[in-house]
Amino acid sequence: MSFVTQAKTKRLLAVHGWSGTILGLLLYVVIFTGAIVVFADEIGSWSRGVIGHKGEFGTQVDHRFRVAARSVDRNYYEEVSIGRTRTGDFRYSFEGHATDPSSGEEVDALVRLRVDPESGEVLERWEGLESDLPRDSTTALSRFWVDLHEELYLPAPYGFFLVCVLGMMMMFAAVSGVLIHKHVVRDAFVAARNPTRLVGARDLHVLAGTWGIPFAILLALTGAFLGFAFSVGVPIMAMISFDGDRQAMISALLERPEAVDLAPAPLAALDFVIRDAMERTGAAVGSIQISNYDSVGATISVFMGPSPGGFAGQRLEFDGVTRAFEGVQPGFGATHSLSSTLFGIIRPLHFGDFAGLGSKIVWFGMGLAMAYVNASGMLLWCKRREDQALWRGFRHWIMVTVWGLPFAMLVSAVAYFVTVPVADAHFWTPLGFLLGLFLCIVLGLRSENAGHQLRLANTGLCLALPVLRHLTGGTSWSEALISGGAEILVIDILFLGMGLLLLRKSGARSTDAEPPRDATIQEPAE
Amino acid sequence: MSGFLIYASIFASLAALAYLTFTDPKRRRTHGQEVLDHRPYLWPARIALFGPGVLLIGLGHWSGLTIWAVAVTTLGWVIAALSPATYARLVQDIERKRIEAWDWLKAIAQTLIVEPARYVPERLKVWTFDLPRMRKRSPGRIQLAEVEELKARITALEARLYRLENGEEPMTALADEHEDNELTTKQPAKPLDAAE
Repeated sequence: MSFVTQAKTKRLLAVHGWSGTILGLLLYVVIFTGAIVVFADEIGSWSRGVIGHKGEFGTQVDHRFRVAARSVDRNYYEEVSIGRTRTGDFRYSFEGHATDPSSGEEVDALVRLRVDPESGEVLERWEGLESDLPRDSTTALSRFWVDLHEELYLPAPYGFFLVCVLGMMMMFAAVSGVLIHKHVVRDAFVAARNPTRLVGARDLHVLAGTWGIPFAILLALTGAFLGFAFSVGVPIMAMISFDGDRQAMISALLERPEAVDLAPAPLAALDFVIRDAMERTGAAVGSIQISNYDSVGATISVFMGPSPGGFAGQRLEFDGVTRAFEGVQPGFGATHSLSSTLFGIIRPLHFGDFAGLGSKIVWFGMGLAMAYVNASGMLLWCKRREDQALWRGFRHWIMVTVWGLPFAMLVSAVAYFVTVPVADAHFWTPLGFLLGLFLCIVLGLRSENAGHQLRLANTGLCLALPVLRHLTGGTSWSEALISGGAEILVIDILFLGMGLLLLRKSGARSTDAEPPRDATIQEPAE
Repeated sequence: MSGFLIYASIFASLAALAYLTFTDPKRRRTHGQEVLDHRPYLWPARIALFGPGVLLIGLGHWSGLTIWAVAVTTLGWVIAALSPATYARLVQDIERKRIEAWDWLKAIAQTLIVEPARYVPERLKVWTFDLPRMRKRSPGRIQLAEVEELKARITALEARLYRLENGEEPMTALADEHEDNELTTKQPAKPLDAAE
């Protein structure tokens, strides 16, 4: 990196440091919550106390679906989707159009059925406008944590937009970090000398940053793309090319352009289609979508999971009457292209869910490493300026944020478990988070050792949460083991393990206590 | 097979990475370790580090390649971040724990296997042979504790006899003791009425 002069390095360091300082705390929130919501599905199962469905989609779908479909008006046959809920039941959604009584406009409406997979009995039926679809209270915790990561719980589209800016900033920090540090490869194996001194703090940050560079760029790029694509890209494209009509744009990009024959005709046997799709891809079926059900122009789209060794799932299309295979559809656009391929892999690359639990664990570890780089960078910046009261204060608030964010998330989980049996958890879970934040701020203002106190509070909450989950009607360990819901057991054990680890660390030392002023040793960091 | 391939790739690369870390000259110099007396095998280590990635590319296992790359860099950071002093402490801790665990296992084995192995056959012999035989010979009920006490006394006396016969214990002591015993035994018993 010798092409970067010393003057440029200084400027880069200033931009790297100041950008990190100004937006670093928010970036920490995005990265930390991102690492946690890698396990959003598992957290959902854990918090709901339902055993996750991990079985195959099955090849005995057809008969039960047809019986259930007979109970639905033909007006809702425009788009039909078949999927499985986390509890293992089938969910059939029949979509059509209806007139909104309040505005008099034609809007999307749907009939949703939840069907027992064994008996075919309809367990739940819901009919109405799509906008009135009731929210499942039991998904509140995982949904809130995901929202926190995606939008920082700010109103749309500002939250999305801010997170995208943070993603871009993370990418810039990673690239500028490489340029600033001239001996990236040579220093890749040098452990921190003395972490309590300035040079040691610098070593810690540089080492973690060096190893995390490729994936910091990867996560920032994919995250910023996903955010910008939906918050900025789609509205702009719709405005420019479709006069602001988003639905028209989506139809042009994702649906077949030719006219559809709506004359009645029986649907091909779904079981054969499923078997055919599985044989072609070697992957499991995720869901099925039927366009123009029970008509000559019907098409069956089978959404497959990633095939072994692959990243993204595939969408296989079959003729709805003859069940002839019509090809693999691109994830984006009407024809296969480089952009549709890239679009297909960006999502799994960001979410880390392309190879089951294995890839999720690796993504989680990487996310925590990134959070560490972020926090250590901010602490290093403050340590360099420790003789100034302003930066000593900022260091204090960094520690409050580092330990306060998990604290507030744990408080939101407590609020969820306490309220989900009796009230709307979608309201109380964010309120619990805000209460946790408020407590953090109060503690930060009143105590100089707030970081340590919050860590102790996290210890207690980590140990208490599995017990609270059980006391509020959660699935017991024995039930979870018998029913194959290992994630419930694993997450409980993880919380208990984390609590015990924090307890041990808290007992051993309080590293984040404010250092005495005269203990600061100023020295050059190479 | 796919999972095994990924785990094996990660393991091979991490082993190579650990070797490169521990032989890195700058790391050794910075932490005051001795300079190695031989050149480290850099190329074999680099091949072992990157080879699994190339293999996964060759197999077209893209998801495996990504998992391998992320796992190696994340765990590689952990390997590199621990200082030699920390490793030395870890090795000491592990060695101490190993010794403690071994002692603990030995104690468990002594309690659960060795002691019962010695005790159970002995008890079985007493219950199945000695006790029925004695009951047959002696009138009245013989308690197991009495048998044990008798056996212990016989064993002690036999041991003492052996020592006396071999000159390990002086006969005079025995004589004195014998006299004492005689004196004790020859004391006339005081009638109960007199005592009152």
